[in-house]
Order: sequence, then structure tokens, then C-alpha cells
Amino acid sequence: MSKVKPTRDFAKIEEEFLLEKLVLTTKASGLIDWLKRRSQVNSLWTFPFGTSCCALEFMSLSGETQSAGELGADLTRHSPERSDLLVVGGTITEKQAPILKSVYEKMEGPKWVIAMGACAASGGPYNTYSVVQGVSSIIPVDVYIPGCPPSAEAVIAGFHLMKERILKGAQRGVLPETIEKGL
Amino acid sequence: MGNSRELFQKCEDQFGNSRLTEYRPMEWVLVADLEKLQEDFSFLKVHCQFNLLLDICGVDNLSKKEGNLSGKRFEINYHILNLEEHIRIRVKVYLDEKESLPSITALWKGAEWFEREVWDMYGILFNGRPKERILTHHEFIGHPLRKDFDPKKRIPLSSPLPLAPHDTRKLRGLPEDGHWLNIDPSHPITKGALRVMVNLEGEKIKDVLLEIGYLHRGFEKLCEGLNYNQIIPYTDRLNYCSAALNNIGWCKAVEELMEIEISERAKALRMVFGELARVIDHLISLGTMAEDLGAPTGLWFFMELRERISKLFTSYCGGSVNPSLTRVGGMSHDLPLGWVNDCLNTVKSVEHSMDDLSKMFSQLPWWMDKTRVCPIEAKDAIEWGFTGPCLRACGINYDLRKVSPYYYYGDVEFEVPLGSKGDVYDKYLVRMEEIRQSLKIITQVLDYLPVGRLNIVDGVSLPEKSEVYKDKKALDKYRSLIRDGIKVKPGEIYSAIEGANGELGFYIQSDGGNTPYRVKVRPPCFPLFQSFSEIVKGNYLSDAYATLVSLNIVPGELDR
Repeated sequence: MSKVKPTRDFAKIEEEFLLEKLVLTTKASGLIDWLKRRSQVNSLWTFPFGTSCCALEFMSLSGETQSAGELGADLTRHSPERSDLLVVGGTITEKQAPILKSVYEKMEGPKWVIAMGACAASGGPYNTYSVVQGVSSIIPVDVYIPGCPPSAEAVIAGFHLMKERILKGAQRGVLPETIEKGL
Repeated sequence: MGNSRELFQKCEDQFGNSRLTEYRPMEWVLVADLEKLQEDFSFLKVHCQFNLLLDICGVDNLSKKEGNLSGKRFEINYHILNLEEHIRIRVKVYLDEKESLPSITALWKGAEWFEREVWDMYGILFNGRPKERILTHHEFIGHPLRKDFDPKKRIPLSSPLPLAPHDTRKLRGLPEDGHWLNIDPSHPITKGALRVMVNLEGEKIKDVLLEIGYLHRGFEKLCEGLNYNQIIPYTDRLNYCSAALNNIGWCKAVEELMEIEISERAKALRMVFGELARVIDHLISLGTMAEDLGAPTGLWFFMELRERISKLFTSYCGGSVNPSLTRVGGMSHDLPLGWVNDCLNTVKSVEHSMDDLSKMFSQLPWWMDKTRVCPIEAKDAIEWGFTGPCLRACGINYDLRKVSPYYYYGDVEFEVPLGSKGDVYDKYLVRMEEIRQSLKIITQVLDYLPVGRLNIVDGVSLPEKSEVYKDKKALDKYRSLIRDGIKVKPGEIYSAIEGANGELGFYIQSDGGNTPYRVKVRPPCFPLFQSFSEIVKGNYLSDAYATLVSLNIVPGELDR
């Protein structure tokens, strides 16, 4: 998409190929997907799957000093069907893992995941019998935000990175080929 | 004091002086026989008014260095409090793997979850209690706190616990029919990881099933492999709303076990940070209460105040949520320049805003309508093992800062706010007033902040960095403290402070090494949440929401 396309000398194009060169063909689902992404970037509806300390830091995002509003991501929805972005903040235990998985499965695509904090990324300081060592073993993760817990500024930076990835359509797991071709 | 002597005499006559000892002032130990346990407990409760069960804690003696005297594998410690005389008693009982204990739920209702936890963690059965897991999941195999359990052995769960499972219903004698509603672990009302399942008849609640353990991170098992100072960051993550109080509670327990005295300045600073943390905890609890009861903007008023205070933490140690600000033997470092001034300014502005907030909420008719629900009687609260603001809202004047003052709490002036009915509104009022009292304490301490060096304990505190660069001896000392940690003499201790939610206790057993042999946290939330099912029975669903937020359950501390 960001590639600079060579200017075309239309005079040289033979008549029978003209239509093919000027019109891009794609699947309807691909186009809808692309439109969804464009709209998602500007208003991400977040599902905060907060279990522990990170959830507290995530709350301060909507506070006075730090604002997720300017990112268009300040709307949180506690229903997976209505949200685009899953923010996993906090320790995920073996007991919690199937629930996280079912929440992810209920989300409609295109869907995105941020692993916020050390526990969600790798189990963090808890290498014990009950803690899942990183949520990537359960669901695909797009962006990791480091910290224990990450500061509000780090979360904002993570959101920026997420938006870049959404625009590029570089989701792990699902890679719609239409986007790759530069729509 | 006279009364406590008499009480001790009375108990000594009953138990004999070989079994009962006073190991610290106002703290006794009773070594009980397994056969006579039930008898001893009824004597303690009925005749000696040991009426509040604080904690039940198991210990596995398998890998004790010096061997254990009793020759039996397990020991169970019951911590019970006499509310009138403020005496704590530890009832110790030894048993073997195949033996089982009598259940004491008939004497203390709050014992149920503690007994379930002992079975879950150690596989010790209580007579008349089914094998029911509480912190680990239902497909878990083994008992994690046994010494021969591999701490890194993970057993994945295939599917979540179904809604109102058949087995649990059968255990509780609940009917098969009924409209069950699931309030999930990811539900906004549960603020993290709690699961509440309610059986509804119209809008009224008939039965409640609670499921916890969604944030069981194995804190107690982890502690067995860490140095005393390395555990401090983990204590942060117990009650993350008031992390500083956990740091203080842990360090105070270790210091009391080592019998060391910290500097005056460190004591004063701990008081200041502890009270700031208490204010933050109450602000979050009140803010979420406002949000969940239908005043979402209320949350931001409270959170804005919270942010002002967490700036003080950030400027002291960099982190706002998990500060890790204490060390065994003192604090991590001294105050930065100008901090006291900032703190006084913040305290003043928060005090001012609190007046506005109480004008906004306290007299509001709809707020009172929504919160004058689910009263708790004082005697029930004691039966369940309530402590902290929830107990005081029922009208019981029990605050550790007043009744057994630690640090300089005996010297500062503050009042203990009390409620009368124990309903949600009373808990709200008690928290509002406690914020004001905490701010009052902070100003008083900062006015008389002692000067001098902060960390002075020999062999425990790290030497000053400037000395380390010049002096070979100091360098060696520094290295050995960092590498090996602090050595603690063999012994055991139960030490408690007034946490934001209630009595936060740490039970530590040491076998003389640089890591603790057993650590048990007495989480104030545990008994509070246990009582939830009984408090809300027969009330409307919306009242149950109000009650849940007013209890202020923090899963990190609840599940450890």
C-alpha cells in the first residue's frame, strides 16, 4: 500500500489490456475487511480483560493526565461480540485460561490482541504451578507492552503500535491476501 | 492488663503449663492434642471469648533441617483473636498424612474456606467436609504446598467450570431447577477475577455459589525459594490497590522474627506511606462503588484524587501501582528533595476535595436509597472473621492501630470511625471518614519527621554506597548481603498490621536459612468474600452488586 507505484504511460498500453490495468479486482469479503480495518483504526473498541495490577494501571488511561481518548480507544466494552481489541492485562492462571480463550473466540474479526504487562507476556515473575507462561500459548498476540505494570505512557505507545499494525493488516494467524496486494 | 493475666491463668488451669506458653506479649501458643482439639476449641471460644478466627495455616514438615520434634509430617496452626483483650492465640496441632482433623465450622462459620484451602494445598481432610478444591482448578492433581510437589508442574484446564455444577449443587443441597445467572470472572462488576453464580427467583436471589482462585499465582510456594528481601516485590502484587501496606506488613513481620529495631525515621516514613496507600485503596473502592451504582462520573472524581497521591509514590520510587518501597531493616532510600512539601500540599488539596465529594454523595437521596441495603449484624461479622472497615461499619471498635499500636500510632491523634448497621452506606461512610483520619495522621507525622540515617540495622541494612566504593569491608558486606540475603534465626511469627481492608497478617516459619520455610498471608478479603453468599441471600440482584463493591474484594490478595 505504501509502495510508490511507477507512473504508467497509458498511451503505450494496448487497448485490450486497458481495463485490466485500471481496475483492481478483489473479493467482496476482502473489501469489507479493509473497510473494517480503516474504521477500527480510528475507533478501537476495547475489551479490557484485566485480572490484576495491570487492570488498575489501565484504568488510569481514561483518567485526567493520560488520555486514550485522543487515540479513539477510550471506549471499553465488556462484551466480546462488540469489541475489536482485546487487552489482556494481568496474570492469566490455568483456571482463567479457558475463559480467555472463549472470550477471544467470541470476538468478531478482524480482531486484535495486546498483551499488557509481564504476566500476560511471559508469566512475568510468576513461574509457578498455576500461572500460564504467556498468553501467546492460548491466543495469538499482536503487540506486547513491557512493564510490571506498564506505565500509562507505555500503554499509549502500545496502542500507537497496534494502530500501525492494523493499517498494515499484519495480524498473526490471519493474513488476508487482498491487503497484502496493496489495497 | 489485669484481665489478660486472669485469662491466662484460667487457660493454664485448663490446659496445663506445658502446653500453653506466652511467646510474645499478648500472643500465646497452645499445643493441642488431635483427640482433644474440639474440646479445646469450645473452651477457648465459650469460656475465654476467643471469638474471631483469623486464619488456619498448614505446614509440611517433610524437609525441615533440624527434623521436627513431634515426628509427624504436618502441623496446622489456628490463629484466633480475643476481641476484648486483644490477645491472639495460636493453636498448634500435629498430625500424620492419614489422620484427619475435626471441622470447626460449627464454632466459627468463617472456618469453611480456610479448611477447604488446607485440603487443597496439603491434602489434609477435615471430618465431615468433602474433598473440594478452592484455589486450584477442578482438574488439578496433587497438593501444591507439600514439600515434594514440583513448583513448576503445570496442569492445564480443558474447560471452565460449568454454571452451577451438578456436584456442587448436590453438596450444598441446592435444587436442580432454578434460573441460574453467571457473573463471570471477566464481568465488569467483579473487578478482575471472581465468579459469582446466583440462583434467581424473579429479581430476588435464592442461592449463591462462589468460585475463587482465578488469580491464584502461588505466592506462598514462590516464597519458599526466595530471599526475604526478594519477596518484597511479590507482596506488592497481593493487594495492588494498597501495595505499600503489604510491603510494610511483610517487613515488619520479618523484623519482629529477627527481633531488630528499625530507625525512627524509617518508622515514621512507613507510617506516611502506609496511610497514603490506605487513602488510595479507599479512593479506588469508593470510586468503583460510585461507578457500579450508576454514577460513572463519580469514578473519575475519585480516580483523579488517586492520581494526585500516586504521583507522590512515583516521585519517591518510580512506580505508582507497585512501589516496593520498604526493605527489611528500613526503607529503600531516603525522601527526595521537596517531597515533604509536595506531600503536605497534596494532603491539603485532597482534604479539600473530600469535602466536595462528601457533599456530592453523602446526603444524596438516590445514593442512600441504593446503599441502605444488606445490613450485617455485628455478631455475624465476628463469626465470619471480618476485620477492618467492614467490621467497623458493623459498630465494632477494632483497629489495630489503636488497640495494639505499632510504630508511632500510639502518639498520633486520630479517631476510629464506626458505623451502626453494617450496610453498604455505613461502609461507604466509614471509608470516607477513614480517608480524612489518614490524612490527619500523615500531617502529624510529617510535622515531627525524625531526622538521621534511615537504614541503621547492622548486618541487615546495606552499607551506604559511598562507603562501599572506599572500604573493602563494606564492599564484602554489601556483596554477601546481595548474594546470600539475610539469615533469619529459626522460629515462627504471626505479625499483623491494619491493612486497608482489615487485618493483614503474615505468618512466617524460618528454619535458620536465608529463605523462609513457610509463609502464609492472612488476607482480609478471604473471610469477607466468604460471607457474601449469606449476606445477599433474599435480596435483590442490584443490592448484591452494591454489596460486592462495598466489601472491596481484591483478587490478588484473595487468591494469593
